[in-house]
Amino acid sequence: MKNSNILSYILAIILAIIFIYPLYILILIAFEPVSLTFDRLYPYQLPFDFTLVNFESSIKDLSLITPVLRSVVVAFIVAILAIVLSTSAGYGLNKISSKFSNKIIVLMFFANMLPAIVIAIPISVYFIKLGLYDNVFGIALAQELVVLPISTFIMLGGFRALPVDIENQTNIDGANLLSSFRYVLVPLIRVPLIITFLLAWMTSWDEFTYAIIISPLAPTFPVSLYDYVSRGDPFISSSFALLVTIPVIVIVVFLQKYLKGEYLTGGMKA
Amino acid sequence: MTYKMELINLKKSYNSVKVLKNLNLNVNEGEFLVILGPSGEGKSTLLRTIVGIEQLDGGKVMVDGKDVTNRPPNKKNIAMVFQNYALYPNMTVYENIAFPLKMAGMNKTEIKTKVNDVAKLLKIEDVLDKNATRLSGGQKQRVAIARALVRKPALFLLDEPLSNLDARVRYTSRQELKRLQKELNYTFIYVTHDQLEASNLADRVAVLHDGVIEQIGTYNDLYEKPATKWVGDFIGAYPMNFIDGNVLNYPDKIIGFRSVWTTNGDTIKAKINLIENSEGNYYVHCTSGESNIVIKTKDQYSVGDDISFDLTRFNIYNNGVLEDVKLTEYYKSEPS
Amino acid sequence: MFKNHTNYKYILFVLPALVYVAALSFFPAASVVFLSFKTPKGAYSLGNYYAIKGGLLKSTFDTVIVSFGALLIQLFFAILIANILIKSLKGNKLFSTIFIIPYGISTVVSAFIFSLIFSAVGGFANSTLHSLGLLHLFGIAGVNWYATQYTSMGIVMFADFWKNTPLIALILLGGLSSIDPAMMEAASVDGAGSFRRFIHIVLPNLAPYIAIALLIRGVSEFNIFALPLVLIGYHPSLINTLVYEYFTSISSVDYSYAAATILLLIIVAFAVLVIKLGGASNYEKQ
Repeated sequence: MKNSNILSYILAIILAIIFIYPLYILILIAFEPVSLTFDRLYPYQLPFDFTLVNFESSIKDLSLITPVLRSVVVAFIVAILAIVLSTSAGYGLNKISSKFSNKIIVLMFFANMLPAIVIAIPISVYFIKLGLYDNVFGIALAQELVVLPISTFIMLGGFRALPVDIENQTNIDGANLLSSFRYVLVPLIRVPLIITFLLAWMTSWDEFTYAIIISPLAPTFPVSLYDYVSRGDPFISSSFALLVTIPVIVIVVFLQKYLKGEYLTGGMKA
Repeated sequence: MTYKMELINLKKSYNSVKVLKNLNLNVNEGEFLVILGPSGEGKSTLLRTIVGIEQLDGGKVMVDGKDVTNRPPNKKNIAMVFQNYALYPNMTVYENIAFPLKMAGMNKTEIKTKVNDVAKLLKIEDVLDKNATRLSGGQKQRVAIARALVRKPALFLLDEPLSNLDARVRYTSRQELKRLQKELNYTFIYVTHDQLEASNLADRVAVLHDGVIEQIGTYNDLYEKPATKWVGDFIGAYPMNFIDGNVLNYPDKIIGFRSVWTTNGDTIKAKINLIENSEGNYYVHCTSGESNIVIKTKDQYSVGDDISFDLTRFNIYNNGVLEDVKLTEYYKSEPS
Repeated sequence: MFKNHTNYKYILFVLPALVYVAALSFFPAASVVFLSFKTPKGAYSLGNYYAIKGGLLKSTFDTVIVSFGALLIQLFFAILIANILIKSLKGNKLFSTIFIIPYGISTVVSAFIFSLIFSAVGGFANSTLHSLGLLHLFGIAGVNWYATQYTSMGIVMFADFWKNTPLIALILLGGLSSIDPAMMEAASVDGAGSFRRFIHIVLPNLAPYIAIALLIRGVSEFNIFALPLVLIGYHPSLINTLVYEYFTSISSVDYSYAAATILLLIIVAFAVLVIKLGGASNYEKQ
């Protein structure tokens, strides 16, 4: 083996330990009796014991279940809205000259750069008037801003990659826009649609700034986790955090092949 | 089920580039019309505007006497076969062919009969269950044709459908396309840059140049009587030769002749630059006066020799336009 | 080639997304700037800015330190990770899976875990130091990770590095795999060592990807909010937490607009800077 490979292995292992350690700690806390972790000045780092007590108590405490469900609902609204808006926008952008469409994409990414907190504060004022404050739709509408540019960009890429003239062929064969989409276009842009959906879903799941400002009293999971932590109540939160984190990690690992730099960068270069 | 089509004053430009400039063309019922032209002359654009996937800037498309210009593509009843066939990759061959019928709202049993009939006609029955992406080039082309045929449209537009095939398949496909068109008596409008295809397939050939149909006629017409110098230059394995009219006492005119329209004589003199040997004949590239010309001969020459010849026939061009066709009587009996 | 330049009906498909962005992002941002000049009495002045001058200046400074610090650390490790993953080492699949895990852990959960790790009492970091005998060596019971504002900021940077390096590594990995291996081989044949290959071939080819990563991450870096809020609260306040601090106290809501405006300014300045530089590096490539 070459020297440089040995060095690579050593570095990779060190980095792997750093990246996995916090997750390990979360799992440890969740399954270890409190007497070995929180109650000690120097908590044990190796699994000496195993208990499900923490889990049972966290599941019995219903106060975190509602925020998790709320987060799930919001994430689905955000993802579905992202699919609808970005499919339409991507389709349209692909049809107009790239000089013009690039400008629109840049504009959208620019909007994306505006700080969430700067936007969230005035939006919360408007949402109070519109009845969207402390409301899942309010959070979803605001979070949509975070995902819309990248979603549009991914969908534009999807439409650009379609075989030349395939949509024209559907029209010549007698299809209108709706049947074009239903029978040919949607099946062909399946992959970008899935990526868009999952990215939007995960972004919403993770989003904190809009959520805490627009819906403080009907919090999503991140916001209520923050409440627990700031109240100094980490016992329940940790097993709960683990519970909701594991499925997302599984999704991410599963989706690894789609989470490529190309999808996230292509548009900025054009 | 055969229709005629008239194109009246078609206009189309991209940005400031005019691609079609008042183009006029009549296509007869049941005719196999080939639109021939070099790449980049807007042949594809012409088909696209006819079928309606590109918007015309002006002009009218009349099918069977009815103005269909402003109908969307899905209401025009014109079929088109694209160069890359544009088969639906998410469907089987059967589903591809059935798609236009499904869009027309036909019931399943009827669709099945029609798809099977057309598959038999094109000899693709045994690939019907395959995915459209898993076919050979020749099969894809047949499927594309089948999909166009199955709905019995008013007109067929074909955009270089053979250009993606390899030579052997291209030959058989060409024969079959011709047979199909004659058997079914459909009106075909076929775009190509390949003169061999044009001469083999076409009832009439329309030469597209500079946004208009520069000449329309049988391939022989185009070969023997090119209406303009440009057509003469474009048609034929070798471009038509053009020399100064003074040589034959036509001052201010240009004489045009094919390399095979020559015989022994001493009216025209030239100097040889290059000799090509082709199956017992020699194509001699030479310079006569200011012009570079090619003549066909059976005699052997060497580069640098002087050569002289007479013409068996020639065309007279005035300002680039055909003015007169001369068949030189006393040469006519001699073989060229 | 056959794009329909004249057919503007397709703009209609883009319109919903555009209107959305304009209504929910440009309009609110503009109204924040507008409101920042408004005093509680309804007059327009720079009063809000003067009132919070000191705190704002300090937060801005701290935010810049955290942002650039975190960016540099992330960039360094992302390049390292991308260079490891591009090699076809045995077990690379496992490594890349491990490296992506933080991406799947939500920011607040990460912040929560790090708050447990860096707890001054009963924290896992101190526990590790204890096991290694380091605490004993210095004769202390534990390190107070939040002793000074700079250690606090360091913890935020570390947590941020952990959470966000995977994304940059992914982008840079895309850049690395776009480099033609033939180019590297040619350089090797020409006698360039791995360091010189990296400087002369890898880096210039990677530059546009680095610019994109900087832009995406840099902007989010200045917007860093959940991590500092959970980890260090308002000690010190970064701009985002400062805005939130003002916003949540009824007496200072107006100040939050002024602070938000400054944040907006910094972001726009940073974005313009990176786009200019990134654009330049793209240009040199051609």
